[in-house]
Amino acid sequence: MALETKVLKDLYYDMYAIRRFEEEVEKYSKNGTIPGFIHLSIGQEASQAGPVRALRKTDYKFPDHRGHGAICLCGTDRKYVMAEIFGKATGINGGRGGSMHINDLSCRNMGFNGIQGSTVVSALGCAFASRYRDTDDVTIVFMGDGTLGEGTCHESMNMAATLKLPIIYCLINNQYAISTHYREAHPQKQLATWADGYEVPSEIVDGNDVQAVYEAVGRAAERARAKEGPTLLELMTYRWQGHFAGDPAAYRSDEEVEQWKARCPLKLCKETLINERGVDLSELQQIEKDADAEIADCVEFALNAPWPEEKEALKYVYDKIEVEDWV
Amino acid sequence: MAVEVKMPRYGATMEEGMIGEWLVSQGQNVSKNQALFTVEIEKLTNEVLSPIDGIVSRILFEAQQTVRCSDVVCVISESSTEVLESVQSKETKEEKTKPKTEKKPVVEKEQYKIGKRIITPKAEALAKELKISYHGLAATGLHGMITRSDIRKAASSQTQAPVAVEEKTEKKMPLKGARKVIAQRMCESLATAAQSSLWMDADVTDLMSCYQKHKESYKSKGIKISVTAVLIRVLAQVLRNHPICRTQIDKEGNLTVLQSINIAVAVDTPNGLMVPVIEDCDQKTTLQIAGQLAMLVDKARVGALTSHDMAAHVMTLSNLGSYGVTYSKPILNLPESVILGTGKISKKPVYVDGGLFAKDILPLSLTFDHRIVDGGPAAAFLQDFCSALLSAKIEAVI
Amino acid sequence: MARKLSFTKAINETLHQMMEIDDSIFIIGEDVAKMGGDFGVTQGIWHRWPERAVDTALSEQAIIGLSAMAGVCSLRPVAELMFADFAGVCYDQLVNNAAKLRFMYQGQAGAQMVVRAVTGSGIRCAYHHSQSIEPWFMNIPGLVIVAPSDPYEAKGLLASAIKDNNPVIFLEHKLLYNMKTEVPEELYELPLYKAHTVREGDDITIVATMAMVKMAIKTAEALQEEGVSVHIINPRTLFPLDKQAIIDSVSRTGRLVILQEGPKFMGAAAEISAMIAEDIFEYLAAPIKRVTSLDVPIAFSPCLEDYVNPKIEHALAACRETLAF
Repeated sequence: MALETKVLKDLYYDMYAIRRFEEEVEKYSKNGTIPGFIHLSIGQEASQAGPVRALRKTDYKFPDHRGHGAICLCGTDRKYVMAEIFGKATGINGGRGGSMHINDLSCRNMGFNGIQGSTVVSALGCAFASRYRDTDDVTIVFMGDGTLGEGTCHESMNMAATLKLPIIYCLINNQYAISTHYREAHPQKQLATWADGYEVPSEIVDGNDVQAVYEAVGRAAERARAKEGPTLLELMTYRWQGHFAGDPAAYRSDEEVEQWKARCPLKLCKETLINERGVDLSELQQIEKDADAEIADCVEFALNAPWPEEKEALKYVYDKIEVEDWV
Repeated sequence: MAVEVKMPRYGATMEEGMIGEWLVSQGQNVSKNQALFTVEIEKLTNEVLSPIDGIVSRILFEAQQTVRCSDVVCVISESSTEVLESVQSKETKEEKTKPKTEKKPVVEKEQYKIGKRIITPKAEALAKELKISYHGLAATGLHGMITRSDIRKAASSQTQAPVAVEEKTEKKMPLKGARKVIAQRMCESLATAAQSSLWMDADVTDLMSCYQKHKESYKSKGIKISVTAVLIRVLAQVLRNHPICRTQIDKEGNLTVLQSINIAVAVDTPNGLMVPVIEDCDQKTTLQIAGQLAMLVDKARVGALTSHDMAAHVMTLSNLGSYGVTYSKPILNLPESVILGTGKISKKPVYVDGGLFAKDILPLSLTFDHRIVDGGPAAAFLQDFCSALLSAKIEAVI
Repeated sequence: MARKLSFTKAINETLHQMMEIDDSIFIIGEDVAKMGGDFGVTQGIWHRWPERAVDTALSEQAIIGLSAMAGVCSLRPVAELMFADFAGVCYDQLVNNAAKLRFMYQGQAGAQMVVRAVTGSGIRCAYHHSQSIEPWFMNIPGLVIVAPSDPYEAKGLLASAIKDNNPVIFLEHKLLYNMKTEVPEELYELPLYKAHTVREGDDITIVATMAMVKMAIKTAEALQEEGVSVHIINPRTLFPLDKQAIIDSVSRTGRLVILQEGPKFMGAAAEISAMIAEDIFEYLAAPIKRVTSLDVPIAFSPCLEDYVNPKIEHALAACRETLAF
């Protein structure tokens, strides 16, 4: 069953907004305004928007390090996400985590742990909790082709399959960890077959086709809610930039990059809307304009936001215990 | 529990010390840190303090007796019942030799230092260093203990306290400590040596202008160069050529010509006259002598001279110029054969080749031991010194 | 009630009693459910609540990862590390994940879990099953390390640890498992983050942890014959440490000896020494002494294992030297 046109249009907005968001973040990272490292998801928008929109707000979501897109769609207003990336006090986490650790428990965005593979076992906890409480909330954990090397992934899949926990392993295969191609790191030609060893069903999905992604995640969620256990989805996609903003990515050929750019998820979605759904170009242009304005607001908000108070650095280490300050 | 009090070793080369006088008697109750007896080395007097509250259960040596360092001088017991035990163990200990064991021996329980504390250990050490009595002081530390800051506060308030009005009634005090030692040595000197004196004037006009010229550059090096330092250097050079002045006689009547030109300098201190020694003055620059002299004077004034500072000397220089004294009759600081007193440098009119000139004149007073040095050689030494002063130059600071 | 209970039974009783009143508590680990635990500590729980006792594969990272996040989701897991040494396998989950979740979530939630870890040397299990792991975790802000020294403490401290919202590593020393003391039948809590005075004294302070507390008591009794009164402190919570209790005692006695199992370098005793010397140096009458194991892996053969661990002679010698300084 094809996706409703309205839903597809909304997804277009989401993906366009992600692209613009990431472009602004890239600009402010390269000019030194944003401290630290940034991992951009330009080119992977469908793999960010599709999964989140296919799930409920009460489902537990574990974004990965390249997850600004998914994070914004979980329910947190984009401007607080932008401010967090800038390290400001009005960032959703008060500037204490930055790009890589953005979380918002109110919409069950559980955040990313900087150690690859850690969220893959953390996902077990949320899935276990929803089963323990007899709700049908599912847990989705985003991971990469690189993440699969970690032992935690194998422990997690093993335990989730044995206990039939409601988890969706959303493996975004953009083909490169940092500089290592996935075929140099893993024996499988298609990483989805990894799940076969655990007798877990898997699907290989065109990660740039937002409709395909949306529907695949929907299927996996239904299985999980029906207590049928975990599913592995391998989303084939590609990142246009290097691993982090500023990485020249000399380990990939220009040819390969151009090939994937030709399959830009925004372009594909736009073409589908215009050619197959009869949506007017001007409507899409308006969507783009609206998104541009929203993103501009976010940047403005982030630039003007105050830095956090220094003493915030000492807070929330423990429950009910204060740590020592300078004397 | 009983604690042995041993002869301390003040300085690495000290082998034995003399008990000056006893301040307590056998059977007397003493408190911790109460002075038990004094130890005299040269003219330095040190008090040995009781390590614990207790009773002086046994005194093993008398005043004026010499005791080897680390030998037991007396025993303090916690209670009178332990007196016999500690004495017995002391006597049997000397016969036994301690067997060598592989393991570290378990520490004897008698040596535990426990008990209620009214002062922290570091504050106690500071109180001793600053000579503050801490009993009854306000305590601001944990568990009601007196702290270092309490001691410091007490020390600063003591220095600010007004001087007590002197009593009119005459106080009797026994002659003791450094004063007693000085008294003994002076009498001994006059009784032993055949002392005679000569006086002469030295022209130091050129020397003084040179001195004024260089004073500032020495000051920039942090050295306050005194006239005494300049005189010592010149004196040392002259002594090289007068072996008779470097000849000393010992108690057996043997004569020795000293080769190291170590010069003692008389320093007036609150505890009395001290005479520390600068070694090898003929091999030192004025800068070096000035630096060492300044240090020794400081040490002498706070009572911190050690036996290292009192090496064997060839002659003493006693400068009373700052007091306005001109000529004096210094007493020999045995075993030296000559001692030089110098007085206030003042401008005097001097006839030179028919003209009257204002000259800086330094009065010199030489006492010599006539058993060894006759008047002639003594005078010759003085004359040479005057000539040396006439042409002396102070080396510029590098 | 004056009934005596062993350490293992005290823990078992606590778990049963806590799980009766709070249904967010579940146990998870290798062999904890059907078998009742490798050391029998979790016996009977699976029989009463099969849904709340989870046997897992040998997956320490998954066990702790699951527990940490289940804690964030407001459950109260009590996970077991069959041997504390296995904490090496899930070190990342404890140190990088559990310890930092409350900080990451700005206090809204945290890894409220207890990880029971069977620690210490003495049962001839050699290098990978005999270590004292507390130094591995004592400088990770966000973690709590609790270390009972007898069955009475085990019950009260475990109850508090389960109720506490911070991630707690609960150290159970193997040699204490068969120890028996009086343990009240009713559920009770002993406070975390507060040291316990085992014995009052004026002349010297001994700080001792876990199995060393017994040795401290024996040392104190021997020294009493020599007229010395010893003050013994058991921190109970090793991290965060009740510094004030140790300061109060050592500032009064002026002397400190620390008894700790495990290597000397960077052990718990090292931190206590530094902390005390830094804060109350003025009050010290003697240098602080640490009595610890030698800095080696633990070997198997009994004489080899016993050689490297502290004995009462070491504790007595340390105290006597300190007293005579």
